[in-house]
This record gives sequence, C-alpha cells and structure tokens, in this order.
Amino acid sequence: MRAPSGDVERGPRARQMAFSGSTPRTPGRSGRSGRSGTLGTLRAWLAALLASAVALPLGAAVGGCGNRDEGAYFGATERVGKAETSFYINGAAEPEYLDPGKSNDTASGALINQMFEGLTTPAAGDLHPAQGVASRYEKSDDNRIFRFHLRPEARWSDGKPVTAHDFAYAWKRALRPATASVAATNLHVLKNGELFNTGTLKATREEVRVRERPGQEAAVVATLPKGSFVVVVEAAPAQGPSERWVKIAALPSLPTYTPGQQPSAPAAPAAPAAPAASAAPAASAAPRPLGFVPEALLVEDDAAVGVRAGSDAVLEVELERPTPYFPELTSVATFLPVRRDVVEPFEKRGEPELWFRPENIVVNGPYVLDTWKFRYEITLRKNPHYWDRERLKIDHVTWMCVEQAHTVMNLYKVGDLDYLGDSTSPPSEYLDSLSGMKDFRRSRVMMTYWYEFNVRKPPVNDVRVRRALNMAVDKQQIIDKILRGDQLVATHYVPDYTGSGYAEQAEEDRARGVDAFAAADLQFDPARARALLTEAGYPVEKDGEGYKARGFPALELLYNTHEGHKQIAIAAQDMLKRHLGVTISLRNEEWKVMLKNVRDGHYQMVRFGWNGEYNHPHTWLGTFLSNSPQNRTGWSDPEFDELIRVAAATSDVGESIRLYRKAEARMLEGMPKMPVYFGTRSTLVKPWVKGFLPNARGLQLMRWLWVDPEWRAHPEQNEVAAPALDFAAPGRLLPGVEAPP
Amino acid sequence: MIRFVLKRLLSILPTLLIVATVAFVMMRFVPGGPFDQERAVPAEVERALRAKYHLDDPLAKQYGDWLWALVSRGDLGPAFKYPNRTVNEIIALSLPISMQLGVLAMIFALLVGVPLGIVGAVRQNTWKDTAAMATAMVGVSIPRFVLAPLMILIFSLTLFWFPVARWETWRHMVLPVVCAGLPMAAYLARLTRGGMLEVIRSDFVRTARAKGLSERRVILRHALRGGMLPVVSYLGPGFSHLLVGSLVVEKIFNIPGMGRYFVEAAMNRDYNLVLGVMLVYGVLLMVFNALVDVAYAFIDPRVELG
Amino acid sequence: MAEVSQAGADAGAGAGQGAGAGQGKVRLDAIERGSSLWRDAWRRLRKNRASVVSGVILVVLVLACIVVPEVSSWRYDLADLKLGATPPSAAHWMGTDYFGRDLMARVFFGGRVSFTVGVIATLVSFTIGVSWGGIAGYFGGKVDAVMMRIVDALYTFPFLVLVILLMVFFANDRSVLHAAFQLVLSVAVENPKDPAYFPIFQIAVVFAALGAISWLTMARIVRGQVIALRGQPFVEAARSIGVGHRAIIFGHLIPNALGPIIVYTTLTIPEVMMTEAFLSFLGLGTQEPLSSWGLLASSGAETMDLYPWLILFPGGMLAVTLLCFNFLGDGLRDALDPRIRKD
Repeated sequence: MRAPSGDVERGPRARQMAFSGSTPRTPGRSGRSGRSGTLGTLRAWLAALLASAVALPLGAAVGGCGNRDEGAYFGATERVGKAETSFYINGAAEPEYLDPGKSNDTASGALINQMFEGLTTPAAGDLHPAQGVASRYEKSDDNRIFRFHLRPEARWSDGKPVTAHDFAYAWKRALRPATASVAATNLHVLKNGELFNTGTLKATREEVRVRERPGQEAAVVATLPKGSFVVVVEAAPAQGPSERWVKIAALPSLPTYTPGQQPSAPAAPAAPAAPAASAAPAASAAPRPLGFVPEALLVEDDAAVGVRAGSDAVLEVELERPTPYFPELTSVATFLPVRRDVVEPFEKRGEPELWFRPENIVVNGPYVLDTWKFRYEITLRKNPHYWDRERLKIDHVTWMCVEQAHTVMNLYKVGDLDYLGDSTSPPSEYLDSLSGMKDFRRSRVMMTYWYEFNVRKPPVNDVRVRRALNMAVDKQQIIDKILRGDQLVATHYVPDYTGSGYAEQAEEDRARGVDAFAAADLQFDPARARALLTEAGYPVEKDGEGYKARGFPALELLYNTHEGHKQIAIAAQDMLKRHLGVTISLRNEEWKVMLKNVRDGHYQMVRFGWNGEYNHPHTWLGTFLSNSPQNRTGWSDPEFDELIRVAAATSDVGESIRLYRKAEARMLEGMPKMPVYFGTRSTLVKPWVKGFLPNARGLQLMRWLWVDPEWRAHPEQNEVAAPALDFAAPGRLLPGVEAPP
Repeated sequence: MIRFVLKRLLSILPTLLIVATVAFVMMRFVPGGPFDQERAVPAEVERALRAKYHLDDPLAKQYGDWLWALVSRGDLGPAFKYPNRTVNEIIALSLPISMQLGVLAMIFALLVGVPLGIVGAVRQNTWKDTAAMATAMVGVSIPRFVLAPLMILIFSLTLFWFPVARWETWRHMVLPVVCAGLPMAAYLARLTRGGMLEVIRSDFVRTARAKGLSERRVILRHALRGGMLPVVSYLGPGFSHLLVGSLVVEKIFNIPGMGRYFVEAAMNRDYNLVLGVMLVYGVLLMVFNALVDVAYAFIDPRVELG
Repeated sequence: MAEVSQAGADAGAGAGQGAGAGQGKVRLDAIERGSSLWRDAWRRLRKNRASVVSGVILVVLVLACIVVPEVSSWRYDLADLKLGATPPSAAHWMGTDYFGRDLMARVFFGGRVSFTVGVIATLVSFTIGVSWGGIAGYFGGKVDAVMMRIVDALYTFPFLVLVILLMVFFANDRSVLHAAFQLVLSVAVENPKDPAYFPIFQIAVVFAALGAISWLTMARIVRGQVIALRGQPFVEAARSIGVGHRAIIFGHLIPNALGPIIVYTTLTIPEVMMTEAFLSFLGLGTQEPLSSWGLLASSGAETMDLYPWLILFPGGMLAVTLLCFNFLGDGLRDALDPRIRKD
C-alpha cells in the first residue's frame, strides 16, 4: 500500500504512547464519564482478568469510551507519524460511480464533491451557495432564467480552462437517454429536460410530412421542416417489418434565454394553436397531438434543452418552472462539469465507466483521484491546477471504505482516523457516553424520518385513523430513549431549520404566535388520539391496565431490515398498543424487496425518510405532489399542487415560503405520512482538525479543513482553510435587456 | 495417478453447471431487481439500463449468453452494483486476500490444533488431555462474531498489541487470522485426538510397541500418520468453508476479501456477482477436495484411486 | 458456515468416513451383536463423567427454557424504553437490554427458538439423510453414483448463498411456501392471514434451510455404513427369505448402523444452532421481536464494552449448550464406536 508522502510507519507501540495520561491497566484512573461507576469496577475486573490471563467473555467488560486521557476525548489524543498535510477520513461505502452525471449514491456523491466544482459551492457553516466556478450570476424575477459568469482562472486538473461548454455538455450528457443516468431526474428542472431524458423529445431529420394515420398513403395533416422539434406521444402499432410509425405532437415551447417574454412560437409551424404558455408553463399540460410520422425520420437533438453556452465564460439556463433554489442545485453532483474529450473516447469504446479511474480522470475541483483500492481505500491529492490551490492546507487525503460502524469507531479510537467521515455516525448505544466528550460534534441535518400510509388501504384510508396514530406515538420518547441524538420531534414535514428563508419564517411565526400548522392536533396526546379513533369507528375501551380498540383491523408496519429502523418500529408498536389499544405487527424486508412491494402498493404503513437534496422546503414538499414519482402513498390534493406551483413562481422570498408553509399545512391535514423526527448527525472529529463546522448536510469539504499540530496551544482557533467567496446579489435579467457581458 | 486427478477435476464441470443453473434461475425469480432504489427512476432510464445489461432478453437467452461468455472468454460479466468493475475484476481483487487469510488461518489451525490433539491422545484421560480438549471445546462453542470483538477489545484497545482493523502489515493480520483459524484449530484438535486414539489402540501400534520401538517413534511414525487421516480428509471442505466462514472476520476487521459478496451480492440482486462468486467457491471447494483425495491416497495406502 | 461442515466432517471422520475419500472403505466389525451392545454402550456412557454432566445440564437447560418464560413475570417482548439497558438487578436477574426488555425472559425464550431450530433441522436432516444414504448404499451401482453425485453437487453449492436465496426467495408473503404455511396455520388458528405470524414463518424457513443443507453428511455416513453391512450374511439371509428392499434397508441395515447415526445427530444439533447464530449475525436468521441465542449474542457482541451482560448471558448459554452437546456427542461416540469397544 502506498503511503502518502510524509507518512511514516506507525507501530502499535507508538500508538500506545498516543494515549496520553494513564496506562490502560490502571483501573483507578478511569476517571470521568457518566457511567464511570459501573465501568470503573468492570475495568478493574478486566485488569485482574488479563493479569491472570483468563480471556473469557468477562473481558468484555472493558470501558468503552476513552475516559483515560485529558478527561474528555474518545481515544487517542496524539497524532503520531502522520503529516500535517495528510488527512484520514472514512467514506464508509464503496463509491459506485465517480461520474458526476451518473452518481446517485451517497458515497460517490461525497467524493465527487471533493473532486469537482460546480457553478456554486456550498459555503462552510450554513451551506448557502457561494462562488464556485461562477463568480456572479443574474436571474429573472420569476426564478426561471439564470445566467452564470464563469471565472476565467478556473482550470481542469490537466491545465485546460473550465468553460461554459463543459457544463452544457455535462448536463445534456446526463440527460441523454443512452447515458441511462439514474440521477438525471435532478436535471428535469431544465426546460424540456424531462422530455429529452425520457426519449420523447426529438427533432426531424429532414422535411417530414405528418400523416393522419400511420402509412404513406394516409392524408398529410402537416409538413415539418428539417430540424423541427416534436414530442413523441406513443408508438403506433407496427406497420410491417420495415417501418415503425410514431404519433407526435408539437413541442410546447423552446427555451428563449430571454426573461419575461413568452416562449417563442412552437417550432412545429403546422401546429395551429400551441398551448399559450403562462408565466409558469405546467408540464402537465399535454401537448396537442399532430399526427403520425415514421420513427426513422426523427433524431435525438438536445438543442431544445434549456442550457447553452453563450460563450466560453457565460452559461445560460432556462428552467421548466420557477425554481428559487436553483443556485443551490448547481452544487449537486449531477450539475458538475465533465470534459467531453475525456469522457467521449471511453463512451465510444463502450466502456463508459473507465474514464473515472485514477489514470484517466480529469477534474476541476480541489482534489484529484490518486489511487483507488476497491472496497478498501481511496487516496486523493491536491489538484495542481485548481484555481484556489494556494489556500488548500491538506495535500493528501486517505479515504477509507469501512462500513461497519463499530470498526470505524475502533479505527478512530486508536487514532487511525482524523474524522469519522460524513457517512458514519457512532452507533446509538454510544451516544450517551460520547455526548460529553470534547471531540464529539452534533448538528441538525436536513432529514425527516417518517412513516408513510397507503391511503388506499383500510384502516389507514381514514384520515382520522392516520391522525390518531400520529397523536399516539410519543416521538420525544423515541428520541430520548432510542435515537439519543438530540433530534427534534417532527410535528410537520420540513425541518424548522431549513434554509432559503424557511427557518426565518418559522421563527417569525413563533414570535408572532402564528400557529401555521394547527399544532395542537399534531402533538402527542393519547386522550385525543383515543377520542379520534373512537370517532373513526373503532371505540377505544379500557381493558385491564391498558386499552383496546374494538374492531381495529390488522395493521402492519413495514420497514427495511436495519437495526435502527427496527428499534423505532418496536417502540412505535409498543406505544400504539399502550396508548391506543391498537395492535400493529411489524414486518421487515430487505431493502430491494421492500421497494418493490411499496411500489406495487403492498403495504399499509412503511418506514421511509427523506434527506433534503437542497436546502429548500421544496425538496420535502415536492415529494407529495400528485405527479411526483416519490409519492407512493396515493394521497393527492389538487389544492396542494396548486399552492406549491404558485409558491415556486413567487419571486418574493418571504411570500414564497409562506405559501410553501401553507401547502405544508394542507398536507398535514391529510396526514399521508406520519412525521417522526428531524434528524441530527453525531460524529467524532479529532481535536487537531480545524475548520470543521457542523452543518445541516453533515458535509465536510476537504478544502475547509486543516490539521493543527499545536491544537492544545490555541483551542479556540477554527477558521476555515479555504472559504468560498460569497456572490454579490444576483443581477436582474429584465425583459429585452441584455445583461452586461 | 494423473488419470485419477484429471478425472476428478473433469467431474467438477457438470456439478458446476448444475450449481450455476439453479442459482441463475432462483436469483431471477427473487422479487426486486438490481436497479430498484428509493428514488424512483424514470421507466425509460430503467429500460435503458436493463437493455444495456441485456436483462430484457428472454431468460433462456440471458442464460445462454452468460454461459457462452464464461466458456469462450472466461468472462463473468459486469457487476451491476459497481458499474465500473467487472465480476472478474472484483474476484481478482478480493480472492487473493481471502486466500491469504484462509491459508494463514489454516496454517495457524494446523499448528495449534494438531499438537493439541496429539497431547490429548497421547495423554488420554489425564489433566493435559482434559485441558487440551477443553480449550478445543471453547474454540468450538464461541462464535467468531463474539470472538473477534473480544480479541479486539483485549489485544487492540486495551493492550495495544495489534491494529484494530484493515489488512496491511503482518501486525494487521494476526488477530483476523487467529479469529478465523481458532474454530478450525479446535476441530482439528478433536479430529487428531480421535484419529490417533483409534490408531494407538490398533493392532499394528501394539505390534510396533511390542517390537520395542521407542514411544516417541511409535507416536510420530505410526499413530500420527493414522491420526492425520481424518485431518487431511477434512482439510478440503475445511478450507473452502474457512473462506466463506471468514466472512465474519472480514466484516469486523474490514478486510477486502471475497466473503462479503456472498451476502451483499444477493441482497443487491447483483446477479452476475452472485453467480461469479458461487462458481469460484465451487471450483475452489472441488479442487481442494480433489487434492485432498490425492493426498489421502498418499497417506493411506488402503485407498484405491479410481 | 464453516461451523456446519466442520462438525459434520468431524463426526463423519469419527465414524470412519472421511468426507472426500474413505467412502468405499468397508467396516467389517460393525455387526449386530445383540442387545448387549446397547447395554454396553449405556454402561460406558455412564462412566464418562463429562458426558453425563453434559446430558444433565442439557436437560436442565431445556426444562428451564420451557418453564422460565411461563413463570417469569416479564415477557420477552415487553419493552420499557424509559428503563433502557440496566445491569443485572433484583428485578431483572440478567439485566435488561437497550429497550428495557428483561434479558432473562429473552434468553430463555431465545433458548426455545434455538433448541427448536436445532432439533427440527436435525430431524429433517436425519430423515432425508438416512433415507438417502440408505437407499444409495443399499442399491449401489448407478443409483448410488447418481445419488451421491447429487450430494456432491449440493456440497458445492455455497451453503450461505443457498440460505440467502431461500430466505429471500421464500421468506416473503407471496411465495408458495407462505401459502402452504398459512394453510397449515388455518388448521390451528382462526386468522392465519394475521401478519403477526410472519416472523414465525420466517423462522420456519430458517428451519427448512438448515435442514436442507445438513443432511448431506448424514447421507454419506449412512451410505458408508450400509455399504459395509450389505454384504453381511444376515442381509443375505433376509434377502433369501424374500424380505423386500424397504424392509431390509429400514428394518435391518439402518438399525445396525444406528451408532454412528446417533453420534452424528447429536453433533448436528449444536452445529445447526451455531449456524442459526451465524445467520442471525448476518440479519438472516431469527427476526425481532422473537429472540434466539444467536440473535442475542450477535447484538450483544457489538456492545460488549458498554453492556457486558448482554453478551455474557446469551453468549454463555449458547457456549454451554454447544459444549454440552459436543461432550455428549463425544461420549456417545466413545460408547458406541465398535473399534474402541474392543479393549
């Protein structure tokens, strides 16, 4: 194994020294920690046992937490034999795809964030979009058209400049059906992105006659010039071996990149009346069918997708619908640039997965992939051409792939890791004893854990039952006794601390005493829950010590096989039994089976959660839209859909968020999902790691971090190594006014 | 002799074919597919993915293609979960590590188990025998998933003798090897003892003793040879099981071996990887069994080859 | 995994049948010698103190597993989140787990599951293995070749993958097996479709899976025994007076091969229990809220530094049981093995 330069062989002897303070065999010094009473004696036992060389399971009684040195750190507090410029971190799972356009798993997303830089980059701390490759941008008032200006000094790791073409290529490539990117749905915000991605957006290869029916003898209803954009509605029944015909419609609109104006006339001139585009053209407005053409005359053409390079330095974007959070989106992996001349040769050879091997990859972010040992370890080194390289303090990153949380804890404890990593949290049993330690960090993250109801299936097809169940689960108890991570009880769906103005609005409502969600009906309240269930036709009666809901049918809670989900499910089961007299059964299925069953509607109540993909309420609420593929509950509410649509198109941030909250309240009335808690992330980071700011995505970019060997001398110091620059307020794109170049 | 070995190796093929076919069919009928995930994928994208991996072909054709690729090019196909790796590559990367762990664990098991068994047999019904067998019994009755955390706790986190995980220097290997090998050592101890006892009481050992051969010579020359028979016959299956059984050890010590794919690949519906790993395992098991048969023939003249 | 066939090969070798090679060897001395054989064996077994003690412990444990959950004031699945994990105390003699469930109730309930898994899977293995091996050995020739080739093939089938496939394939509510399970259930209970029975179904699949893989060694042992015996005069005699094949196999040959069969059966139980534990470690065995020693030990092992009692009691029970079965099996082998009987 190739050690990063400056790294020396570390023996266990050195590691033993690294535990400053008492030797492990002196039980008397076991010191602090909440459970020191028990542990102290147990550790004494252990010492005695070891001394007599009896290694029976009693030895298990050793103290788990590093209460041996300086009173309050978990494990080693000396960094032995590691260079200041090296960093050791755990990435947990093996990354599946280091290709920004295709990456869809957490592990590869985390690595891609270190290696590529988007138009914007999240700022350390609150993660607001800050300058990445773009140094400024303009947007239209309705949040639909954006124009980004790229910094000229941005470079790829082979020294070539980063241009707007790289972005346009990357986005269109991810959308191309042949790329088969699972993550391409992220790009559906682009004008015509979804149509193109699903293979229904085509252009005519030559001048084409559109016929009334399939077949050359049918009447011509229109003639389309070469290069007209059309939408394939459906395939016609096969006409014979040679020709396949498809039914087409006019493309509703093309991007204009000019704000305020109506989209240009439909490209298909024969279409008599293209639907008049409103300020927010709804994708659901089905294009008017035109007629039939032979499929062979249509070709794939990405020119109608709403992104283009105005020049090397200007990227113009037009979105399908107003998207106030678009600048945030541009730091998501799918929006990161890739180089055509790097990727295409491999795609042409039919090996599209080889370009991101260490020997081939070209990146534009702070770190380059150096080595990649499958399922074991990845190393990164500083990108010698990165435009902001001077400020980076870490030169080499060792990114281990250790999935077992207990193993990660051990590695951290002995000092092999500087930081547990973004994807590993201490097992919940440890949290109590860790929470007092100085190297322990906790932050609220954008995650809502919920139970989804299948509103088509009794008994949860009755909203009163759903709300009664919600009121009978003591979520605080689940947090205090099982999760132990200081999570917040979720009485609604969007975490209170969500950015983009949501947190401010929630705070304002609280200050003004506005009860946006009718909170009283959402709190834990067993008495009201029983009343509500009785009202729903299942009278809850006293039954000995507890209750019994008469006639309540079988209800099953489904979760994917996982210790944590199991624990919460058991608790919920217990609470419903105790407070409501409802017996629910638990069922666990392994992940893939569960997904299949949920998709097929074979469930009543299922465990899911949603990690915010961007710091805006839309990421949660969007999953409840009637047409969202994520909405598996069968709950659908036109009024909710409309509220969300209007909210997104509202330019004023405060007003927009108020509308989002109104939509959320509407949803809570319907209670298609029982919110359980808003997540936190607990982690451990060695005291010498500086620039570490816990944040709502549990995300740490290596560009922020540095190692301070003198950490004892200045404990307060924690500035970020290479903070991103903030954007100036975005310019306005006005109708008919070209923004200054 | 060569004919015997060849015949033995050739007989592997039909068995392998059966194994592969059964696994192939069963896998495809398990609910859920390799591209199912929480975030819904547009139907077109999933279709494109399925087309790319030829999962939309009829099952018989998929099976034929898979088999042909395997036979003609030794190609086990792409891994769905890790699109940038082929199954061949994954096995090439992980098998050597598992073999390393397996061989070391086996050596450890032999070095510990056989002497313990000899002591037990030679000093039958003394306290030494009892102690040796009690040790072996403990090895049999503590699952590896208890043994491993226990050893880490004692030897890594308390005594700081060995690293807690990973697979780099010899220091990293000590705990995993002991952990993987200890249960096997325990079995070997019992096998050796049982086998030797059988021989020690047999007529030819009595004869040897009667001829006045020294006890040491009797034990080492005759009894041990007899005692080795069950041990040798066990080594074949034992080694392959060690490879899979060290799954626990690989998981806890984060060793990038092959064991983890047995469970994972099935969970991920990574069809090709499941089949590939199973075939490799099958080949290993059968080759080892064949080798053991040959070795057995050398030790035990009573066995006829053929 | 390894545990399974290790014990298997052990027993096989002990009975004179190496897993790979020694199949064809003939044992001449394993002939029926009248009922004194069993009396002798019993006498010898009684003299083996370790075996006797093991047997007594096992009986006590089994009784405890039957009785304790019935008389205990705690239910195995009764959670008390406010309590959480507590060390052993007067109220909870073995302490409580992370959910405040009484560990003692869980351990003894888990014992039921572990013993049941062990015994049922062993019975399955016994039934299939004895019939299969008996038929193959008795008829010999092509029948034998085909049958033993199948056994070889199944040996190759990585057991773990087989179990995973079985678990995933059958342990869902739309499999054929589940329909069959509900059918059986409908005889006993009112509402067989109640999902509360699902965990029980999952365990049943574990039984089946374990039984399905542990009969192979049994088949080999029985076959070896039967081959050794079938040339004996008493078999010839039986055949000459027109006794049918079935009667010869199950009436004469198998009873005479019972010694090794009993030994191997005794050793199969702990091996199956160990495998159940291993499966539980992988999350494929017994499912919450049920418990088994394997499940308890595997979750206890992870937190052994924080809550040592959670590994100590279930792990200890598991270890003691496995030890006792092994001692008992060894004792039985010494008592029943004809070669050792000679002196």
